[in-house]
Amino acid sequence: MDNNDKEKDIFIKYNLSKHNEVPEKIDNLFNNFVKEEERMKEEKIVKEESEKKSKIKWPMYKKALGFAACFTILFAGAHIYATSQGYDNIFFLIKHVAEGGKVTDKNEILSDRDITISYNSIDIGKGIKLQVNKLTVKDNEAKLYLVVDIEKASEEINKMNFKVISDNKILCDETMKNEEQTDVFASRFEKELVLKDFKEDTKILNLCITANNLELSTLKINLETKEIEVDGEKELEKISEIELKKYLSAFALLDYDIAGDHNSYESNNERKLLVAGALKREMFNKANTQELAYFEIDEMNELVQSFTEAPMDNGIIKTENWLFSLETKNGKQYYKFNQMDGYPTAICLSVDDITYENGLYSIKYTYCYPTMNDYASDNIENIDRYTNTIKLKINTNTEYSKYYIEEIGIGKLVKGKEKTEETNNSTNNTTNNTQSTPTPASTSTNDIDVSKIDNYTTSMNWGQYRSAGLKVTYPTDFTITETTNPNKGNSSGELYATISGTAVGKENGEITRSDMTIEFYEPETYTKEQLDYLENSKPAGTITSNKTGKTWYRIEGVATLENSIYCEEYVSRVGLNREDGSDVVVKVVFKYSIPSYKVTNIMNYMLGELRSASY
Amino acid sequence: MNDIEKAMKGDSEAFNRLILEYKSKFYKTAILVLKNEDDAYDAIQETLISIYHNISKLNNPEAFGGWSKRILMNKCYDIIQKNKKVVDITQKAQIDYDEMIVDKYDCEDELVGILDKLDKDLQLVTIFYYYDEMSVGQIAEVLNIPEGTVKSRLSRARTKLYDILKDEKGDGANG
Repeated sequence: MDNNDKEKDIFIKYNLSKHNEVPEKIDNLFNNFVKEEERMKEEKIVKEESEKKSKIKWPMYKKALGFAACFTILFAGAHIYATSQGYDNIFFLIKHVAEGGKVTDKNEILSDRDITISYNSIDIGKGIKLQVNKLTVKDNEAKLYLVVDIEKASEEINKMNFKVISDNKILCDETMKNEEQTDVFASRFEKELVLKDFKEDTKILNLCITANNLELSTLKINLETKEIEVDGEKELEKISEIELKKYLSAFALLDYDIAGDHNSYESNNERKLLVAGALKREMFNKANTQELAYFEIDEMNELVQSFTEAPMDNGIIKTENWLFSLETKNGKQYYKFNQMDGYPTAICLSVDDITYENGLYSIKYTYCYPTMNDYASDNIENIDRYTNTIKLKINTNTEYSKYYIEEIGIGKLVKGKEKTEETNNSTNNTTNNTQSTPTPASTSTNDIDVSKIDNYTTSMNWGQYRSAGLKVTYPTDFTITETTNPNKGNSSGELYATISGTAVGKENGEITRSDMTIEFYEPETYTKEQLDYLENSKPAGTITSNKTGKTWYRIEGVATLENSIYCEEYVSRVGLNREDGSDVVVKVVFKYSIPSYKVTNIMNYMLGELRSASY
Repeated sequence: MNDIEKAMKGDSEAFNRLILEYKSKFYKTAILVLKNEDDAYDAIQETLISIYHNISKLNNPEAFGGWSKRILMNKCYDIIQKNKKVVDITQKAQIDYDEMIVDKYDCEDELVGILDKLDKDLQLVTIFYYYDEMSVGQIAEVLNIPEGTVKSRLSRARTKLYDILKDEKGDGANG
């Protein structure tokens, strides 16, 4: 560096250093931070002290736990030994030894008896009813007498097996012989089961019935009270309804309509990830937003596989969509949920029926998909609800989902949205204003279920388009024209993309074709006054999407005719909630030549799916 | 013992003095990158919190300038990512800080107005060297670029900036 450069450096430094003005806001930040810092320091000290205290206590817990563990192991071992020697429990063994007895195998002499148990039939599933008539003991041999009724012969009930267990000992294990099978199909037969090692003091017999190695039912027979308890009843008692509802809420997302495509491989996998995300949030109570946003791929796969089969491509979903993307952090791959406040949620409203059979819980339940708005406005009762049946079994060897889904049906709509009087009035007004205006859907205060109106719409393919400010679901037979490069950021409020095509639908039984363009504009700022006007006046055509929670205001009022083109302009807040009441809005404009249900459905469906991508 | 060392040992008064000393330096960098006062505010706030929580872990007091500036740059980067209209899912392993300077001009800061006349890749080295008085080594470390690159950029910036400032002052360049 020569002297000339040094001079220049001094000159530059001098001139730049003069610019040390800082806005008042920043000044306040520094001044307040100094005060805030004092408060944080106090909190830090309190936290450190509490951590120290918990560290001191921990070794004491450890010791206590160690003691408890040793005692439990010793006690369990002694108990197992005692029961293997024919004692009810360890205390009887201790008592026996204390009284000077020796620990030996027992060979009891049984007293004869004939105990009538029941003549009532018990339904054990697969169309089979069973009576446990009586227990007899004669000449030191115990027998259990059964009557089996088969309503309908079936291959499923081949090789019926009866197993009687008492005190963890198998007293009888008998499979129907081939020649008996004919009798089985003859609808009713009697069965004698010889019980080996039956004890004089046996009070409980467990009768387990299987067919083709699948458990049909287990009966708990109390010889004293003569009560028979079907095992499943007890299994139902094991279920916590609150917990079950949480799982069912998550599992309902398996039926969530992603991008209008119910059958695609990607959508199915995306739904599984949605469920896994919901389980992570609900079951594992993750409070931290960052943790909620990022899920490690391996862990998510384990979680997915703990509740359903997971036919994923090496555990990786390769498509990007508005729900999640793939990211790599510190060499590990993560699914990232893109919109923490906008992902779909489901709620199990009620468990309508639950039965237990063969290790499976069969549950009929009702659920819905509320948006953030529905939560906020306590509107959950009024939105679409669905019913479905699911078969679950309890997972025993996973720390993830408690339930594994063996079978799940397809959700059925059981209660449509409540079309309020306001909606009907709005529809009428619209019709009065312009006869050819597309009616009911665009004036609904909720987005509509397109499948109920026009089969053409549901048979469409919907694609995803992501661009500045928005993520769009659009008909794939439409084309997209980007006005300028959306990544570079156009000026506020400028047109940046147009989707165009022909909406082919049916109107009054006749095919209609309408040219249609959908224009997307750069986000722009609306003042508090503009937003107040929209939100307070709620212009006709206001739509709140159940899926995204976004409310779209039709700022052009009812469809307007511009040079034979109908034009509807919608805006929606992105939700910055600035202090001055202003907010950025995104705008979408629909233009079409012939109004029809098809056009209306496309508009509503797209508005129902549209999400802002950037905020 | 200077304020940095004292702050590292938990002296809150020293910490207060220290951050006030860096007030305009933090602001000018944040506003240069983000070009928006609200965003700059957020970035600085996050930076101060991070410094407060981590200053005790700093090994070398002399590294404070570069270390804190690196935190600030990363917070600016986070805000840019958050504001970005399309999320880039193929995240870069290494951040290109020059590229991250926001194009849109949404502030009235005079210093930013001057530096904006320079090429993008010259702006950060300029503010770090001339305004923050960081060394070439520190700048290289913060921006994650070789020292040689810093020097060549400074050389280009010097000539251009000298002319810009001279033009602004009319003939007052030499006095």
